[in-house]
Amino acid sequence: MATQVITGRNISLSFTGGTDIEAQATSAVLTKVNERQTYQTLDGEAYKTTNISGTFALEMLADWGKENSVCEALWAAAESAPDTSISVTLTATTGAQFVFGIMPDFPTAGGAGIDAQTVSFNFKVYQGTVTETFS
Amino acid sequence: MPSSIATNIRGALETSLSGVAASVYSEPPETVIPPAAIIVPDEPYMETEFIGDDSVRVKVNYTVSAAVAYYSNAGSLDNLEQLVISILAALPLSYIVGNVSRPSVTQVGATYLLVSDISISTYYTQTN
Repeated sequence: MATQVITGRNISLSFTGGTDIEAQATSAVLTKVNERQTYQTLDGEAYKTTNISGTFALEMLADWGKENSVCEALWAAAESAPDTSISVTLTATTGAQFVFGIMPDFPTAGGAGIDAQTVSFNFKVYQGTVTETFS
Repeated sequence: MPSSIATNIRGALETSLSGVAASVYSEPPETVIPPAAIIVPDEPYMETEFIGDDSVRVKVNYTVSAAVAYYSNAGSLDNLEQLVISILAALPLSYIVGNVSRPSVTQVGATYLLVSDISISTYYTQTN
């Protein structure tokens, strides 16, 4: 079969709340991890996964002051409902969709004079739960 | 009406610089009437930084070449410095402003110009 190449341009991303995230995001990476314990037994290593966690790393251009601002929505959510997840839908490419909740974090504000203001997040995925749809 | 870089970026930048006491060109002209501010594509010209493909979004890089007539070192350098400062003041806040290059003498036709390049960048989204 032919080699498939997918790029960041294949990605689509949306948050609940109607923010214009795709217009701002320069990088979006979902990471789901098996937190696995390793035991040394007389038969060799044995493994037990005790938890599944996830993080969602997002890099974006700051959009303070914009209509449907992502930064303002996240700031408001982090302030008013810090323990309530926000639903995110990330499509890596057609046929590979991931839906998960993230715990809201405050965005940074400001930046260096020489560059565009940017914001970096490393969100915790709610309960490490990701609903994937592969087709 | 679809957006275009010519109108929404270079044209808008030309308008922003129109208050500068210089001829403003939104593309490299055939002849330059100094003092002048000339918008020239930089290297790399466009960078794809965004995820997704629902719109074409690029970072576009330009230099604004500030050019003054080169008659004497002291006078021309002073004129160039004033022109550079006035261009920097007129640049829209949505532009990333980089360094100003060391002045150099350039001959355009029979005219000698003292020129410095100002590196600038901004972001463009194609709308249909």
